[in-house]
Amino acid sequence: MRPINGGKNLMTTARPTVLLCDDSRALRMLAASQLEEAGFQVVGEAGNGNEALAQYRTLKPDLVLLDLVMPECDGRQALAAILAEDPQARVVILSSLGAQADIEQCLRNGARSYLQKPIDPEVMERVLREVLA
Amino acid sequence: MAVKFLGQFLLERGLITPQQLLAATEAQRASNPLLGELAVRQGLLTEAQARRINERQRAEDRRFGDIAIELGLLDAREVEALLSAQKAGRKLFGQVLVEQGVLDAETLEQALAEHRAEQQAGNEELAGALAGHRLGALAQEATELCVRLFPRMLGTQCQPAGLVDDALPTATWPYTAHVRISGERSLRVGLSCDRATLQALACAFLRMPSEQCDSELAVDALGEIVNVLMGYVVRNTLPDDADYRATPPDFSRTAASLVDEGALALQLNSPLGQLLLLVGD
Repeated sequence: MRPINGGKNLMTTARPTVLLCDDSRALRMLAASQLEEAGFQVVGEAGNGNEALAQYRTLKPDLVLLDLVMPECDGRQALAAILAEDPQARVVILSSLGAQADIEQCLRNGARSYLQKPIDPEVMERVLREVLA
Repeated sequence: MAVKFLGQFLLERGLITPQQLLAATEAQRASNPLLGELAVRQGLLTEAQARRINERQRAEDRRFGDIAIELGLLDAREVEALLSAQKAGRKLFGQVLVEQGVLDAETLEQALAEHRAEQQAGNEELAGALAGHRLGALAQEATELCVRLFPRMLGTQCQPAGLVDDALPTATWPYTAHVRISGERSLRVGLSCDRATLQALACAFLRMPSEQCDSELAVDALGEIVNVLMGYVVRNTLPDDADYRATPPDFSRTAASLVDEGALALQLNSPLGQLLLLVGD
């Protein structure tokens, strides 16, 4: 999965940059358009945790939106890897699961927040802006 | 016995043509605006506000009016008035057919009575089959979720049409996605459909025209729909502190092979097409 805009984090805009990581292209399309509409800039998309880590290193986005259930390297592993690389990384989990135990575990492991699918754009915007504040 | 929408029932009996079905569906739809459309029409909400409530409905299993009140966009009296106006203007499908001169009142009455009897028998048969099955409660839960989620997630209805216990040829159900949960309790939930239904589901989910949705994206969207469905099943059936893991959507298995391993297959009828809801453990 390639970075968007050739991997360059555009400095000409004040829009917060987001790396979107989900193995579903359909979900990425949907989320990307909702993020753009909410004033964020999607600078990269990744289809698994390994790609997410590689892109995080290159792009250094303001936020990472990370799916939990993915092939190869899943969201839990990617969360740990990204935080090992950058303990200040702002990672928000995006998952369809959402049981209490799941949410607590992700937050304990360093995720800044947890969003449940299907995405409510308004909730997503509010949560992401809180995480950025 | 498969429970059918009235339009499909009349079509199969040769009482209406496909063109008449489409025209009547269109007219009925126009007479039955969504609450948000009505609120915009009456100047109570802007289009953006109605869209905001609809988006939240996609994510939460709640009614439009409740969300509007919570957000302070409508008060209870306004919601009540909108519901009354919606009910007053609503035309039944059969009524539209009579108004359009497609059926006379007597033929419609007779067809409605037969349809009701068939529906009742089908529902009883389904309830009986599920009650006697170890996966019955789970299948019932997943079916009710589909009925509630389809309007919110896909903008259309669906209704259970019965348990499918005969062969499930892959040619009839070529696209299957399922998600598996493992842990204290293992669960499988899947959907299966044909090509046309797959495309219609994906376009409804992604809100995009058909020409922009390639087949790979359509299959992917089916997996995401199953993901969302599984998320709701997990939240509604597993305890909050349950320890479990989910797999990404699996597209490699056929409906028949999942049923061979003990999954239940329920047919769902929707204006987008026919689907199989697969529920296993």
